[in-house]
Amino acid sequence: MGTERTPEKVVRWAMVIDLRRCIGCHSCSVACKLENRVPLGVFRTWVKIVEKGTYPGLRRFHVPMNCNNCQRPVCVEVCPVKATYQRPDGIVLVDPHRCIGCQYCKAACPYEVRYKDPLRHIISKCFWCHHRLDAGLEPACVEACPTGARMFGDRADPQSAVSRVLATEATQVLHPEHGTGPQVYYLGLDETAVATSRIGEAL
Amino acid sequence: MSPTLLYTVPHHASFGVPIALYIFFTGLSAGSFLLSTLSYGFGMDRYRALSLPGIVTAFVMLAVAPIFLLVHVGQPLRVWHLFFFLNPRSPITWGSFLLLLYPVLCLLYGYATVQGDVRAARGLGLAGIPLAISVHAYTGFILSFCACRPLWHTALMPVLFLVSAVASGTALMILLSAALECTRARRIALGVETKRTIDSLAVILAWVLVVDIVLTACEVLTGLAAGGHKAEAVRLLLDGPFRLAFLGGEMVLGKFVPLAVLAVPRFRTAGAVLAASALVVAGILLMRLDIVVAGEYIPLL
Repeated sequence: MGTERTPEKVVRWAMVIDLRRCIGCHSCSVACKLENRVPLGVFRTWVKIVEKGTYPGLRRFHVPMNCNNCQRPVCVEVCPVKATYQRPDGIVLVDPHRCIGCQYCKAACPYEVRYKDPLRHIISKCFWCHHRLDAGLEPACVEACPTGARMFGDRADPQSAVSRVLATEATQVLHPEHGTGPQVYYLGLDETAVATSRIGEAL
Repeated sequence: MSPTLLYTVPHHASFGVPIALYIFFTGLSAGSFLLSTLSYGFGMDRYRALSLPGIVTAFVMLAVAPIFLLVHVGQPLRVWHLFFFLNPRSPITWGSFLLLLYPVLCLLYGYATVQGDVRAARGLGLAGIPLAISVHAYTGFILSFCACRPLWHTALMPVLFLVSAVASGTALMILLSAALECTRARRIALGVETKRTIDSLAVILAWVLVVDIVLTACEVLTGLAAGGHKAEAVRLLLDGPFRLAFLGGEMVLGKFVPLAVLAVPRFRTAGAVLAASALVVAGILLMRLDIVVAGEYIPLL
């Protein structure tokens, strides 16, 4: 998968989620919870499920969500204390000792992937398991996915699996209209599945 | 068959009642400060009686306001980070320095007013006007910088906030003038001087309400014409769960009824003007709550 890093190489991490493979098993959510000790009631990744049609003409759409680690992150822009910052490899981090918990980043994030840690009273989110990446491993959600729907790799390396998919397949991102340059790419993303955001909502 | 959302995780609002109250109190502060400078700053002597109560109110309201911020932030002991690790692109950073400078200026200006030092009061008062405007307008920028929240993301937000700040501040000064007069005279009656001050404040308040209504109408109509998420957000206020609070409370009781009282000479008795002012203050409080809470009501994903 090409997650090994050599110091002199430029690395830009990206995630590709093949929704045609996702079976909605929530293994990624569970693996993430365990790996990152995510507290009760909040999530770094989850699988949104939207159902279209009526039986027998019916299908469920699963959309796994996590931080897009955007190229141009709004959260970094608005954070008043620079607690949220971007690493050279693209991962957007929150300094847990610097964050004052004002939640401005959470209000400004178009993907609502940030949460207020109920135990530490600061903001947290998915960091693409940077501790695992730095150790040469893949993020926990990618490793746990039983169908291989989640793909992770270096966009700067044209030979990586992620780069090849991005170069040859039709991919989609969430809310491209905000110009944030999200780095989680989807294959087979359904527009209505993204737009349906409320229980009982009629589109 | 419309699509059905079967599962997603709940999202908790980032800003809530404490932030709305913070905006409400800084608004009262900025509004009272601007009125307080009319006499010393601009030489309008008929507002001389407002100078001291105005600046005291401005200072007290601004002392109260940050308490709500401390309630809101998760790590209140780390607020010193705001001054040491500052990000100049964040409106919160602008605000942390404004919240430091503005009270200092309020104190100096208040001292000059008490001393009767007209020249110092004039200079400090005029210098305070941009500060008072900024200390309130920046809260509008905090919301309008959230590009993903259609109800907040409008260039009108800082202007709208400023106008409603002046409205609530003027209404508060009307109530305060009457209360001070009654306490001083120890009876429920207003002297000629106070009546005259309240009358001229009522004219200011009526015009500010007109501007407020026009700006709100601009925002609502443009929002509806935009369609999509923006129209959906505006419709929360017009026929959604915020309908009663926005149309009934904020607009009718908080703006149209007081405007009718202030604008029609037949209704403009002293008691009615005081009641209208109380309605305006309550209406602006409701406006802060409506905007802050409704802004995060619709999930983005």
